[in-house]
Amino acid sequence: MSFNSTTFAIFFVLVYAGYLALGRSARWQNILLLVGSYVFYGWWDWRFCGLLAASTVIDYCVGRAMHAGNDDRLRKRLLWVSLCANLGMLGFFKYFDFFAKSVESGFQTLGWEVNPLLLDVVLPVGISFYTFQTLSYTIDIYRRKIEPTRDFFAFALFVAFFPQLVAGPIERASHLLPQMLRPRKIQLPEFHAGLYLILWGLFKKVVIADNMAPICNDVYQNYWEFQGPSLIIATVAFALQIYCDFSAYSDIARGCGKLLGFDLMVNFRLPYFAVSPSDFWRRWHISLSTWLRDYLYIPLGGNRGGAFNTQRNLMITMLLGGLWHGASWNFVLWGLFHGLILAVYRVADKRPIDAPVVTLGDRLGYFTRIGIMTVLTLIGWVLFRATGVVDDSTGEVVRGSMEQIGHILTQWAVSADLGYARMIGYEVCFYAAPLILVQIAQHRSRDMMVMTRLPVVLRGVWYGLLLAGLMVLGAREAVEFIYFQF
Amino acid sequence: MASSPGGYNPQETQAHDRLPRERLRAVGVKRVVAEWLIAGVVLLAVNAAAFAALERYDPNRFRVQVALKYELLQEQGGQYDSLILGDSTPNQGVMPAVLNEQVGGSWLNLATVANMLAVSDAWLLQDFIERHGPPKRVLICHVPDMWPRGVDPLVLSEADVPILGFGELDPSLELSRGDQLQIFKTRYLPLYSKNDSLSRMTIKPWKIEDLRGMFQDDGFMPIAEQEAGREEAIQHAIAEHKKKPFKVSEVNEQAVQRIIALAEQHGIEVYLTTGSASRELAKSPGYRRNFDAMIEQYRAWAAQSNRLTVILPEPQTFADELMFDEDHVTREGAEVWTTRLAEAIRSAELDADGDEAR
Repeated sequence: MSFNSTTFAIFFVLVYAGYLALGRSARWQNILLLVGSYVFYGWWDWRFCGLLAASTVIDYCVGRAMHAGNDDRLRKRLLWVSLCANLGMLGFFKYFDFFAKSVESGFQTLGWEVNPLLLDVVLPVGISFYTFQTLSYTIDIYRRKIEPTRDFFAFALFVAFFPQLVAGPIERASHLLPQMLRPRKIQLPEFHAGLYLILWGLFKKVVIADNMAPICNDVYQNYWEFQGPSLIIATVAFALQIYCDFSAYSDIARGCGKLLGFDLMVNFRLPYFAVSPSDFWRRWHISLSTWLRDYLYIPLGGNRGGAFNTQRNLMITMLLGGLWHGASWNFVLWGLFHGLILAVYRVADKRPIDAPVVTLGDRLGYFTRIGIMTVLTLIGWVLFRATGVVDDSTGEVVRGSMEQIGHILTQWAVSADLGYARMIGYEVCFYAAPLILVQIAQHRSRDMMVMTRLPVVLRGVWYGLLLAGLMVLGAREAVEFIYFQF
Repeated sequence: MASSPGGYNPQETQAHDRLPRERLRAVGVKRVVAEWLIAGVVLLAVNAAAFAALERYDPNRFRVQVALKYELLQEQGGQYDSLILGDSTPNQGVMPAVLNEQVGGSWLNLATVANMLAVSDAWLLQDFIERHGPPKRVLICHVPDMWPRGVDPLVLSEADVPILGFGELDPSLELSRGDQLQIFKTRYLPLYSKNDSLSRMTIKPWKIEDLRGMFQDDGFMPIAEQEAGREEAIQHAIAEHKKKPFKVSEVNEQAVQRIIALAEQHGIEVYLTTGSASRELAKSPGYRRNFDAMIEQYRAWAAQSNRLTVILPEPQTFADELMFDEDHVTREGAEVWTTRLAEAIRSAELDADGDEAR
């Protein structure tokens, strides 16, 4: 059930009506939301509800047992149970075939023929998100940062909460679980902001992301026919597509959460205004980057232990962060690329991220930094998007990622016929214009909700235009959000 | 109870200076209601603007064609005494000027598209009679693949008939509530129903053409150039004819019966013929099978009334350079086809005169 489908609209209205009707009982509201969340998840494939339930039961029990015991060895063993169960499921469903195929190719390069066992299993939607969320719960209990809850339904809802179940934000128990344990009061400012977030999120997804997708797909699927500006514009289209798609999901999730009286964390803060890689990662998919920081980078040693260890930790964290996005070498490459630029910036750019911008020189420097980071981000998106060319009739990859990446990164400075580039360039500008205007306003005011602060008439006009845009310019068939596949 | 004593709070990233924060606005119920009411008004205003823009600059030729023909009938119909009805093949293939010159009278081309079925022919004829009196002659041209088609309420919604009026026409269409709602949306909520056309108009407003300018005053639509994907269109049509055998749908049968009744009642000469076709399409066994079955059906209808005459009972094919696509002709092709039709009508009229004399 995708947020941009009629099914979800009906589902949400029904759940919301029930939720309001149960207004006095947080416990019954939780049970309703829990049932709703399993219906929401089971809509894709009901069999995977078992995985969700297994993850929930294991971590609930582990959390309780860990808290009850004072024996550190036992606590560590329990943590390992949680890690093995959750990462085991993730590894089995998401990475088994990838590693098996990679081993096969490795042996083939050495001249040995092997026939590895392939599982060919369907990837459960959102498994990467909810396993990370529930893992943070057991790790935080192990670190004695939080105490486990006794309320099983509240915990089960924390793991399965439908607005953010399949594509985040990846919430922490310390932030979300207390909200599940206390009665919620739906306040008008939150309700108002929630409606706006849903509307803006739908606009970003249906009008911008889904109209960028065919532009990018056409060029990337037939990349050898294109050179020069068309490749650049298609990559810009992908940058807009992935940002609008993913941030739209977060906006809609947060909007639904606010309507229900929950506060979900902000997951994006204008990432394309970043001045450096570290700035980018405090603006892009914040819930993942902070998760990786707290549960991977810092345990690896973080920036303690000298320059070499810091750089090594950065590379490992980003490599695994890339792999989190999908079982494919181009995601690994993307992660490594970001690790590399983080490491280079760490050495070469000592300016603070938030250095004040006062003089004209500061301004020039600031925009230059944004420009350089934008180019680096686009190179990263080439690595991310280049998943090879798939033959629609056979489903086989007929041209690999590396060939695609090689062509795109070497041919984008080649002059070429501008006719097609001009056409797609115009379309990209047309669809991106509202986003750019809103983001400039958000950036200048440093307020993500700046559009809700317009005078009431302008606000009404803005909402009306967004609704009209959704109807006229929106791609009608419900295209799945990109991040579901991760 | 979960707690985070001095624990991590992801929201702490808000403390950074240049990062935008989420600041919620304090609002009252009245303001929230007001802004969403204004949004609704804006939406209605944009819908009305879209409605007006589509009236004038609709980029969908099908819709323009149908609307224009109904308007022509109402506004200009009185100047004409003979009608050309049918699908899109006569719309761009039968030239009233040639018929005026070679057959006599004053002809008006009211042919629409195949999806409007023969039902639209019957309604147009009925409407013409009610507004301007019975025409002398009616020429009806349809391709074989029109006859099996059933009613598509969305397509018929383009006819100038009130939503609740379809049941009062002859042949009548009993539409379900769902169909009526669809027609309502199609007609009055263009923001929702005509989003493709509107998005084309919005994205490239300078590319909006006045499609009405493509039509002559007598309803004929001359097309000078050939279509680019002609070969694919021909192969597609061949495959479709192979798949779908000829059969007259119930609604089309009712429409023909209604036309026969009107012809008998008002003394109208009705000439029934086929649409144009490319040589390659006409050669294909599927087309030929369907064409022969159609002519057999035409003859059966003609046997019911002396007012109905079948003319040109052979596939109407043209040299490749005269074809626009698989079954439409260019302007030059239209001249050739209309000359053949004129000769056939003249010859039929001479035969009829001879019969009367005898």
